[in-house]
Amino acid sequence: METSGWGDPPIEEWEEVYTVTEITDAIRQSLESEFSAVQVLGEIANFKAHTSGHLYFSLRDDSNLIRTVVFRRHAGKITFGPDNGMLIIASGRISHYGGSGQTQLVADRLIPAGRGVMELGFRALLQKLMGEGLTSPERKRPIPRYPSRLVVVTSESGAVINDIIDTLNRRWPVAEIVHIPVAVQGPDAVPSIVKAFELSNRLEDVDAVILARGGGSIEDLWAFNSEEVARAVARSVHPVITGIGHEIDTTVADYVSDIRAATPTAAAELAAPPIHEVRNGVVESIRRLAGAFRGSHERRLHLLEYLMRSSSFAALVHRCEQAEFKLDDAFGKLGTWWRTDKLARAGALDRSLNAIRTVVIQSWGARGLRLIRLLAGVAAGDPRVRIASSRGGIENLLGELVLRTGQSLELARRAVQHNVRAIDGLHPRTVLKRGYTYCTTAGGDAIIGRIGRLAVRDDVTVHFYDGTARCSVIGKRKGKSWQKK
Amino acid sequence: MTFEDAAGRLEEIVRRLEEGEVPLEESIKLYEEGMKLGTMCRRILDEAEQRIQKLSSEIEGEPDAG
Repeated sequence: METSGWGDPPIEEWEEVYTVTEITDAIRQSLESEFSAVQVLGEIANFKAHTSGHLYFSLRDDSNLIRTVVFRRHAGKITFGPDNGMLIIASGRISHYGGSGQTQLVADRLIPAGRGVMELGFRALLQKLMGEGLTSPERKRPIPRYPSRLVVVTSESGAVINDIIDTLNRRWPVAEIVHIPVAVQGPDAVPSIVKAFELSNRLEDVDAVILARGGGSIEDLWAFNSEEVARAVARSVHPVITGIGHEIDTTVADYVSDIRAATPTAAAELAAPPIHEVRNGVVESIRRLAGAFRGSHERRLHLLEYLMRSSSFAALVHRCEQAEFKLDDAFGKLGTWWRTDKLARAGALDRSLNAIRTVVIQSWGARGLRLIRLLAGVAAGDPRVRIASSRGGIENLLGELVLRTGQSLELARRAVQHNVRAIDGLHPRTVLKRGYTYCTTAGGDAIIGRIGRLAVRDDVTVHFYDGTARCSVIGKRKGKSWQKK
Repeated sequence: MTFEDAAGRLEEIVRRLEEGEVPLEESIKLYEEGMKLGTMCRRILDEAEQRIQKLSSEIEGEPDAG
């Protein structure tokens, strides 16, 4: 039995020999049963969308790669645009192709893996900033209602800046817009946004900063979830309004800003009041101003009118008129009595008149003055004269004055009576009682006190205490001879 | 004076006059001031014309603070 070193193996061992096809089939069966449903995390490389509709690429990590295919019927269901460098999770099965001798992943579903990875980073960062209190409601500053200067931090290109400018122009053209263009995605986004805030912090008289970006994938909004941008927003000297992405997107920048708007246009609306409403408000304010001004004076005029119509005020006026009338009457009588001989009785008369005046003025004086001041105060709106309290005060004063006027009137009447009585004692009538007579012209309008004023045959009237006699002069003589007859 | 300041002061004046108890002389002063502010506010609104300024964050140095 001779054998050579390279001779055929024993025939009984041949059954363990596979053909290439056999082993390929075996590998395929083994892999397909072992890895019939797997999820593989990796970065896309060598991406190729074939004209057939199938997608070919490699999934790789730091040291390995696996060929991947997505057939047309599954490729159509992918909602994002896979591309080189993108981290994804591919779901499918592992297969082995004999023709190329390659093992590959046949994927039927691709998910951007960044979503999950970013979500973890997002939560961690938010937790950290919350811990520092940067998201607390107490930090939120109010946005001025009527801004005069707004800074807009957003991309120079795209619809967002135009939408914001249109909104501000339509609603509130009063505000000047300062646009600081920035990159909103890509590697420049974070530094350029941080720089824009540094710039806006140096601007004065800025009412608010609008930080905006249009909608996009969560990867596109990545800059707004970065710690640097979040801190720039938190540090902003001026209040910040964020309008990033769509309604459903909330970035870390949104959490630290002073107010978050759902979209860039909504952010502009938050900063800009509608000018027509504001104009109506101003017109209404002017109308209310005029009304309030008129109203405050109407109240005072009403009070004065009310006082003047009150019974006590009428009584006061009446008493005053009465007093004046009675005094005038008394003075008039005295004057008539004594007009023929003013000089002799002037002193006594003046004294009595003065006494009456003094009584009246004294009783009126201080009180009257106060009343006048009060009324003037009400009319002039003197703050010391309060509407509520002055009404009662003036009424009391009026009542008191009515009383006092009554008293002074009585005093005046007594004074006049006294003086009239005193003067009455000097009146010729009192002398006539004692048997004297006096002679006047026939009409009785002039006293004849000298013989020289009489001529023979003159008609005269002789006055007795209880009557008069008409006489004719039949003779006269100067001197006192008749006494000796 | 900005629109914000003028409108705020106007509102304050209207409120004071509406509350009443303002002395005559002061109320005249307030009324005149309010009317002036109202006119000013309307003028600002009527004459408002949007101004847009673009500032480059790439250029260092003092920005034009306007």
